[in-house]
Amino acid sequence: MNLFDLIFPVKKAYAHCDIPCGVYDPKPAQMAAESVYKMVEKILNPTQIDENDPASRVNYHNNMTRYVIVKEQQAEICKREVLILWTDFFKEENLKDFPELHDLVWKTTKFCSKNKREVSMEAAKELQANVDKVAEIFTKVKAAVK
Amino acid sequence: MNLNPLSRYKIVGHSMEPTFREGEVVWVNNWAYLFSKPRVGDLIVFDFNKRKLVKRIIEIKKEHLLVMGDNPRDSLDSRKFGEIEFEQVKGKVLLRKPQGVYI
Repeated sequence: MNLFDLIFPVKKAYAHCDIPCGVYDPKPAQMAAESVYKMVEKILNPTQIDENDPASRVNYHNNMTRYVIVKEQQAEICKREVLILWTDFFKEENLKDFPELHDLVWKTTKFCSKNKREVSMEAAKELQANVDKVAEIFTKVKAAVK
Repeated sequence: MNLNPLSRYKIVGHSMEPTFREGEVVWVNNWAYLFSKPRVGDLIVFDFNKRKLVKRIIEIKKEHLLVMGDNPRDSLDSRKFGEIEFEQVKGKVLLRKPQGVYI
């Protein structure tokens, strides 16, 4: 050991967890689905433009653009989070108890795309309902593991 | 207070990727917060369960901090264990060599 190492010994800084890597949770997907719903709600119920106030029109377009961007981003996050659960958390044996899983994930992620393409309360509600079903299965699988 | 102003830490784990890769050695300023306060975005080393963890500050609440890994998919952080005390903070990670430059 040289003097440099003596003065500045290398210690360990943990950039991971005390528990095995791979902490899974359906909450991010549920939050993203809820955000999509809220954005659709805002887009469909905009504040009215005051024709006598030029700033009002600018604000309207600014807000509307933000809602669309957030809707797009959150739908993408939702899709990714659901797919992570599907590919990493759920195991083949879970299909025995939940044979609908593959179809459910497929439909859920399809709804993510539909919510990107469209502005529809119905699609947003369907997305939330499907993500909740995934979360429900997740909870049951996790409870069974314990 | 650490008498040595600087410490070297080797990163273990993947929660700070892509900022820090496993095995990378970083320098930490142990005196960084003697005269200034932590700021959101700072990379810190702090005590946690008899270990030192490295995370990024995402929120500051008076004497408490919320921290998160840059790779949230693989990170145990404030989303799980909540706030940490300011007293737990050991130092601030200093800038390291630019990415892509290997010596």
